[in-house]
Amino acid sequence: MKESYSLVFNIKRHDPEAHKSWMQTYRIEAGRILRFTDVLRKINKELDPTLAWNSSCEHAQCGSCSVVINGKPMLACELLVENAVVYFGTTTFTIEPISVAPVLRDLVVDLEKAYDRVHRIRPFIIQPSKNPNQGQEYRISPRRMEGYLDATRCINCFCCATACISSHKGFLGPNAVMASVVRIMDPREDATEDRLKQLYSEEGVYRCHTSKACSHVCPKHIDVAHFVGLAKERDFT
Amino acid sequence: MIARTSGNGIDKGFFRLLDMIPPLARCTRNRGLPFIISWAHRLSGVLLVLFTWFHIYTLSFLVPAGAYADKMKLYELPVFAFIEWALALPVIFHALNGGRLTLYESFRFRGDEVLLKWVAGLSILYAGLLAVLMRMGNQNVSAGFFWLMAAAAALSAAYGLFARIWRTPHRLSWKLQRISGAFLLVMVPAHFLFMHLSPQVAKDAGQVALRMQNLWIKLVDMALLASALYHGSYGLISILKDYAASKELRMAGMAAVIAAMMVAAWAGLKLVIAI
Amino acid sequence: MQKKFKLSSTIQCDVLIIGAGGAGLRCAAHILEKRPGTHIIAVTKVSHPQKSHTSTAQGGLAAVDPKDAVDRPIYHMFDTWKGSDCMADQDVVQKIVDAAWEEIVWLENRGMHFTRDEEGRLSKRTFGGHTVRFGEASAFRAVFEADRTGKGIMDNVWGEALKGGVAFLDQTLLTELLIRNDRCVGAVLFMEKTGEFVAVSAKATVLATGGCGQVFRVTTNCRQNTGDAHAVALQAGLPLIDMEAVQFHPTGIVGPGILASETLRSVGGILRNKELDPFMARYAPKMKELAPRDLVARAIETEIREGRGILNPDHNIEHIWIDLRHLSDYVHEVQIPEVSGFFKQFMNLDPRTQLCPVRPSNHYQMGGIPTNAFGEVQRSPDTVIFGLYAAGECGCSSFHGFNRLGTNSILELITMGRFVGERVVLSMDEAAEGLPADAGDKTFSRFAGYLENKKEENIDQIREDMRRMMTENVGVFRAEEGLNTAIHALTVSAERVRGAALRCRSLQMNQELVQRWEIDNLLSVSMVIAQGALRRRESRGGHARVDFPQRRDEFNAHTLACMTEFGKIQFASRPVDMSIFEAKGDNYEKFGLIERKY
Ligand SMILES: Cc1cc2nc3c(=O)[nH]c(=O)nc-3n(C[C@H](O)[C@H](O)[C@H](O)COP(=O)(O)OP(=O)(O)OC[C@H]3O[C@@H](n4cnc5c(N)ncnc54)[C@H](O)[C@@H]3O)c2cc1C
Ligand code: HEM
Ligand code: HEM
Ligand code: SF4
Ligand code: F3S
Ligand code: FES
Repeated sequence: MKESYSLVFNIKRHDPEAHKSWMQTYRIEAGRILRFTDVLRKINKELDPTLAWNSSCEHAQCGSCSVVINGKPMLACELLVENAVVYFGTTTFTIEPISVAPVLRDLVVDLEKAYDRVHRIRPFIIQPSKNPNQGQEYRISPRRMEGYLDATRCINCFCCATACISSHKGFLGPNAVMASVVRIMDPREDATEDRLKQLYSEEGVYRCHTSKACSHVCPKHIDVAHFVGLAKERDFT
Repeated sequence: MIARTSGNGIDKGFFRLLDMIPPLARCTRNRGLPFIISWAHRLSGVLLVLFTWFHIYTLSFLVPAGAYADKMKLYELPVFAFIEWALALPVIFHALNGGRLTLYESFRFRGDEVLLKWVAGLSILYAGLLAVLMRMGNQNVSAGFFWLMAAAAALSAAYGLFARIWRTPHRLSWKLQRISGAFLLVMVPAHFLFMHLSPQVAKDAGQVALRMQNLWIKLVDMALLASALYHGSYGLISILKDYAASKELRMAGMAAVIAAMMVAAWAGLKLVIAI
Repeated sequence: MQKKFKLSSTIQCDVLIIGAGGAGLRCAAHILEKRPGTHIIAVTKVSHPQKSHTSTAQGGLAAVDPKDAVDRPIYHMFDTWKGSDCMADQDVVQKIVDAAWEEIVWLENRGMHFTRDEEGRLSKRTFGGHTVRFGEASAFRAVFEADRTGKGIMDNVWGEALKGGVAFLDQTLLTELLIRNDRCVGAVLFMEKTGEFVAVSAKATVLATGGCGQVFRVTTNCRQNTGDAHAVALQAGLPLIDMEAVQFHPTGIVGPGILASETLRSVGGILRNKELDPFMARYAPKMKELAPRDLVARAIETEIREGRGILNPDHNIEHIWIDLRHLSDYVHEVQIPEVSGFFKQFMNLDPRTQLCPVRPSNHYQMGGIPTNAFGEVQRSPDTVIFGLYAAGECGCSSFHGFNRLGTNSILELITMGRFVGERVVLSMDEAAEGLPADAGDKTFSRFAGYLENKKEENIDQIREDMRRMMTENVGVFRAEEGLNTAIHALTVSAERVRGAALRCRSLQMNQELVQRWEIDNLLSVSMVIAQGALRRRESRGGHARVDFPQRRDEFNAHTLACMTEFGKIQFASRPVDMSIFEAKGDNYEKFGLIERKY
């Protein structure tokens, strides 16, 4: 086991004012269990303070730090140097911004634009169903919830949307479709028909070709394709 | 998280072979095997559309009889014979994989590992069988009977899917594409097989023309024609929509696809009627 | 260059919410429910509200279910009061505890996916410090959504705010509060994405920017928690309250600072030092690893200080070990799978066969921007700033006093969010006041300074040094000498960073610029914490003075600190509200100056 690695980071950069994009190479020594976000911070400190990248929680809970590493969309904050070297079989890494939204600078994208699609499916209860226990909680059996609970773990990191075979131009994207499916399965939601109408529209399930890249790259290990599949089947049991 | 190399455990056994090809290995690692399969499905679909156009064009030489034989001579060259055989791969792969996708989408069959093995196994078997038939080149069946059996199987497949999806709120065009797919699932591999029972079956203009006089065969051909063209058009338009964001571009693309398909349909229909 | 610095526009709205985390958006949702159509702008520093720090809270939120046969609100109040080390304001404690269950129902009815029991009701679990019958037995009081309760809340309030039509400004910073004659009329914002400054005029401004954990080197807090609003409030002449009351979690995982929860110790994990000695036996012979949080944190810190820590070469920080190797596979797989998973994920360690590195990590800021029980920001104990509110971790009505109980924080932010909403709704019919003519000037001079400076300095290094220094001197342990060192070091850092040049001189999406601004905020907040800690010559809750290990009644009051010029602090104090005690109702004696002993 090596204690530290000499890494080569080829980072796709973008300067919004000069309207210029280029690849920049950084050579840096990094300890084996540093996360990629730590390495980026190290680059800021030791080589180039101008390199911009995004993160927030830095423990895989918020989905701010998604980037494309050697072709695979993933969370920079949960990728350890050592694991990356083993997984990719190299110490050279190409890092690019995710492709679902316009780039603001370097690795930072305008996530608000990516979120437009999630906003479109209305990620809340549109029409509450009747609660037999007024003023109290709804009663929902754990077994009923089991069907969709996994999907509620999504952190909207957009790794799935970046990986999907359907270019994201006219597609709600796997995560947004899944979020709508969750509400359809949620007994507290009555606006099922509204939701289905959107799911069966041009931007909905017709754009999914069951390529399952979503399930493959999801850092939360959610079988996203399964939930999109449920919508195609129109059977949510 | 890093330990996962593939979606649903398809990283085992048989499919490991793919990992020996570096670009594919990269792709299975980054997007998963089903992603590659989806691309293969897409490419084979487009190839089939192109082939159908070319096919209808060559068939049109059957009327007036004569020129067709000339075209068919081409296939006597060993290279072309090989290409003809090789076409079996996209045909059977697209068919079986299409079947797999339908099982996933509409029958909640999420066992991809098993299904992909079936797709690969049956594809190889089919291509092998075809090669044997092509080498022997001496099989004989009654066209009427063959197509009776095939059509019955194809219609049951189509009906099975119809019963399953007709009541869903999906739009009509999608349902028709999937149903035509189920129909083609049997029809296309059968058609392809039939044409290779012996060289005369497909290459002897006289024999072809004679067969096509039969009303039943005319019916079969028209069903094949209609479903393949419809299914292919929907497929092309669907691909187009994935890439064209603007409404204008989509409209223009759709118009082009529909126009091309209309021409092909007209040419194919003319042949069936005129012969 | 100068011409870059102007307000690109002035926006009018009814309510300006700064910080779109759990507290901010709960407030927005309430306003929109009571007064649909209210024009609300919610500002967030992160790339989308959902990325706010509330999303990372794990454990749960405490609330007494009226259907519960044994639990009663008075027990919850007592636990909170006792936990606070007699520093919580009792009017606030009563108000929040009484409103708690209503909030749970609100969240549930709007779609939060709480974990359920077999009957389909909300499941509850126990949490440290929560008891029934005044400490007799553990209370099952925390409702939760698996190990992602905060995420459930965040998704929910964000959804409700979206539903009601809140306008969001993402990646936008509060840089200046506009206060005139004790009336807040709005704020100046810097929009990172476009590099523009805007002034917002609002009838009500709500601060809900969360914690300031980045002050310390090892923290469970997110990258954006740099105490911006705290610093901006100071600049506006407002005081901060009880900033020395900082909570440290004994076992954060070295590196990302993620919590390695209490469960590890309760299932039998053993803490060991460099010599692999199970040292807790020396500090708490009876309770050992199960002693209260602060005691364990102090024990670990002592081991490290006395040279029995281990240095992690990658993160360059000292730690001790938690030993889980002797635990059965069943324990690993069933009782602690998630935390075990964290070690695997972030340290590449297998807790079954390897020792795992942990150390005390900064976790929570009990103090903040002082408010009354309605969330109205105070200038002094008896004057409020009209139109300015604070809720969530950045505010302090003092529900937690000097030590927060687990699961009480997200309860506080959700209830205080609503209380603020209630107040704001009442004030909506008043007319908005105009913005002052000099709006933005303070911001411009600051930012212009950053961009024009020429001195070669490694800003990231200064920040790192400062955070390390704070961890060492103003962390788990404090003493006069260390605090004086810290105050001096902060002055030096401030000097070093002043005039430091930036390499990227653009205003648009300039991460370097934002981080430069954040350092100023971190320095200000650190200064207030350090001086507050120096002044408070006692130990209480999260504030532990080695040189004054006892709680002292003469310090029974909140610290108010104003700092208009860096390093020059004026202190005042705010009495602790003891209304439950004074009302002399049932069990009132439990709410006197009781001992905090478990
Ligand atoms: C790992 C962890 C686990 C926890 N677990 C629990 C638990 O189990 N139970 C519990 O009760 N508590 C828990 N807590 C504490 C609790 O999560 C926090 O106190 C709470 O989430 C704070 O919420 P908030 O709404 O005040 O702020 P946040 O959610 O932090 O939101 C702050 C908002 O303000 C914005 N902002 C910040 N600065 C600016 C600026 N300058 N300009 C504009 N916007 C700005 C941010 O972008 C964000 O939108 C935990 C905390 C951590 C770190
Ligand atoms: C043989 C039986 C066939 C079956 C079972 C079948 C099935 C399918 C299915 C299920 C799809 C949808 C894939 C998706 O987008 O999710 C599809 C797509 C497609 N098919 Fe077929 N098909 C068959 C034959 C054909 C033929 C003969 C053609 C050409 C004329 C064709 C052309 C296409 C095209 C172009 C697509 C679009 C591919 C894409 O969107 O990526 N298919 N087919
Ligand atoms: C190289 C292999 C093939 C040969 C030699 C071949 C040959 C023929 C022949 C001889 C006919 C005339 C009708 C008949 O005899 O029944 C025909 C019709 C047809 N074939 Fe093929 N075929 C081949 C592959 C395919 C494939 C792969 C497809 C699917 C895309 C296809 C689609 C059709 C259609 C749609 C018709 C009907 C045309 C019409 O009615 O005008 N063929 N083919
Ligand atoms: S489904 Fe998975 S990959 Fe997609 S956004 Fe959610 S967490 Fe990310
Ligand atoms: S990757 Fe895309 S194609 Fe469908 S299965 Fe997932 S949405
Ligand atoms: S920074 Fe939150 S997921 Fe990576």
